[in-house]
Amino acid sequence: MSRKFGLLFVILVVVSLLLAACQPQEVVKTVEVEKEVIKTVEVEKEVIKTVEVEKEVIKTVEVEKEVKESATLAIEHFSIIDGTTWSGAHDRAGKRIAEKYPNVEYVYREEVGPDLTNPYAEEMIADGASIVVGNAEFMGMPLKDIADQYPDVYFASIIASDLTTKRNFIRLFPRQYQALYLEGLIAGALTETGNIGVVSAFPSVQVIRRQAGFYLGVQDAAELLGKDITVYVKYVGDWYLPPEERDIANTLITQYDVDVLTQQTDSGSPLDVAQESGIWFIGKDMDIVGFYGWSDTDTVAISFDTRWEVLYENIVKNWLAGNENPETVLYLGMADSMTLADGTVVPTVDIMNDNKVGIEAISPAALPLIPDEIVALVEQRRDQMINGVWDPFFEHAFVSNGTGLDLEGTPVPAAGTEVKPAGVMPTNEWLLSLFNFDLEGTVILE
Amino acid sequence: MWEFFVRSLDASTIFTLAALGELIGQRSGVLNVGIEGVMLFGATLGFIAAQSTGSYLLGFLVGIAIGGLLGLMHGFFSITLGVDQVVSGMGIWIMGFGLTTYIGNPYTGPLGMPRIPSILGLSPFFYLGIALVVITWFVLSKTSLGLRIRSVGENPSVAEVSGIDVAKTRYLCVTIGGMLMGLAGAVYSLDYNPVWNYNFLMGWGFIALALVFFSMWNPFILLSGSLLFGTLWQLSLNPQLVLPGVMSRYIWRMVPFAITLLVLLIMSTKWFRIKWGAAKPEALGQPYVKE
Repeated sequence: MSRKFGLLFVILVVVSLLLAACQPQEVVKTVEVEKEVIKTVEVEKEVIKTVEVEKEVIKTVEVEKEVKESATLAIEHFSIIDGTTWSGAHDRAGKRIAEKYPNVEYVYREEVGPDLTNPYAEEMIADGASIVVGNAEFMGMPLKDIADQYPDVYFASIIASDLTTKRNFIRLFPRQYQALYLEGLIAGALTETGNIGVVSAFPSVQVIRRQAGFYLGVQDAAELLGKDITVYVKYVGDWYLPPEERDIANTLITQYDVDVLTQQTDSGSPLDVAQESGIWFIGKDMDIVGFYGWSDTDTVAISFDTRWEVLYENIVKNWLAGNENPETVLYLGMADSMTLADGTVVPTVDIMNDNKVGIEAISPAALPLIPDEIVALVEQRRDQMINGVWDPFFEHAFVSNGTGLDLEGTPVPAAGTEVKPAGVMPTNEWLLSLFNFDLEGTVILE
Repeated sequence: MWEFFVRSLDASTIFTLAALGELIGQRSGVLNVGIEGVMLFGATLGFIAAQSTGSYLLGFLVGIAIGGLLGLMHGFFSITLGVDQVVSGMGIWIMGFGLTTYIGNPYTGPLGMPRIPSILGLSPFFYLGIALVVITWFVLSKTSLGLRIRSVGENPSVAEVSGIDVAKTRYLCVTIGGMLMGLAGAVYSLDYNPVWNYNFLMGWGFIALALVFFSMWNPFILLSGSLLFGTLWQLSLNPQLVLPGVMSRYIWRMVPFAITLLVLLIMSTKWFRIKWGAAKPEALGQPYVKE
């Protein structure tokens, strides 16, 4: 009997060792060689035609609007608030709205799953809520089912990929990719090994879009500095899997020689691994140094901050004005801002670190390592985006990597397909619900 | 190779410590399916104690103490009150999930303390885990205490007649078992992944529970099972390092769990029990009422 157990013990240990031994010593990089290809390009001729155009006569009709004196903004948070960057930012937004508008009250519920969305919403409406928001798509979408029952109430939900709207069911998301582009510039300048790692959740339109913003920034930095930079993306499987996030962050560092790490997931594990390994970390969603004190600027080179209050203010103002037909898709970016109760003007998203914004947000330890032309470019692009005259998604062509997420009726475009040429701005609808492929050059680790 | 193996061994240490605690309890006939909840408590309170005082020692002691207390509580329900052990264990798990989320929220984020130094590149708890496996095997197989534990797990009525205090022996085992589970949680939150997030174990306690069945209640098989599972865990996260493009990453993530299920399935067959001998404690999960 004991010999059998001994034999089994030995077999299991040997199998473990063999499995571990299977992994390679080093990563082999594929080097792409550029070929000069002569293409025939059709050039459009400008032809002037005389066309009869019907004139649309617009009549001004006076419509009575019932202006409201006060409002109650109710936010349903899918998670807890304390210590989370996503719900924490939404909660701060609700508080900032209430601070600025004495006639607006902010109420909330935490850890709301899709089964509780509508019961909680109806409970809060009975208590006087006039605007009900679900702060994630998976639990915010049920609100559309009760929107018709409460025509005087505004309902709203975050967009992940579904763009369903109703007259009083608003969908919202910030243009975080703009701040991520600026982060990409900084990450690209900081990497010495030429390898940047992203611990990511899973392929979805939201994740792909945000990664694209970051990747374009990295590539612009690489081009400007003459560097060869690889961005490795490894999916964990969900937004919140702390043990897996830690192990994948470790793999990116030890196996792929990553010296700048960022995440598209929600736990603090990748940040801790970066700190432990002494590499740079790029934060997301909130200023994790200034707001939470989770780390310091010796590890966090830059982060970005999301001000949901800019979007909420738009909704609250419309409701108070008695607008029965508000804009139902809100996709606001750095060009949109809100003046807080203390007079601070905050754009919807901005780079932020240790309570500083803009160039000052770059870690004092990282700043000397970043070439001046990159710092100047970050400053220039930020100003341009705040002024609404530049956008990375307008500037750059979108060429498919052949990887991504097959959507119903929209398969992932084949590798090398130019889906959008440079100098064209994709529609909000496309960006929010159909951007389903990684950009060419992104290395997705299967 | 080395870094990869170190991470596998570090992960396996958590499984070893927690599963060892469960094994000791089960050998005395008490099943504790609340292992995940005990680990969550040990991890959370250990994390809070260490961060608040700046002392790792205090953090581990708190983790072990809360584990022991929860083991006692499970013992009170399952031994003294004789309630269904699965129900009591599930209660501990649900309580652990809810209460640690509530208590730990303000502590979300990294621990912010210098890392515990490694020994020859490995966590010191890896060596502790091996030592505890050897000690457990020795106590269970070679001492009179071990014989008493095994006898109350096999046939408590006969043990009672032989002069063994069944309740006392079982209390001892569930308390020590709980302490090991609490230690496993504290090792997770103070050494393996020193960042507090709600429900951060994500099922590791249940894997440890499955490992006890996998081990056929033998500490050495348990150790090797932990090593295998730690390696499989790492491979399932990084299949591109071994067999790139062979299977979807989602299927790879299933592999450790599918293998666990397969092993449990094989072990539950009559053929296996006859071939390897029925190691499962006969009185496992059954409350003992003195006649």
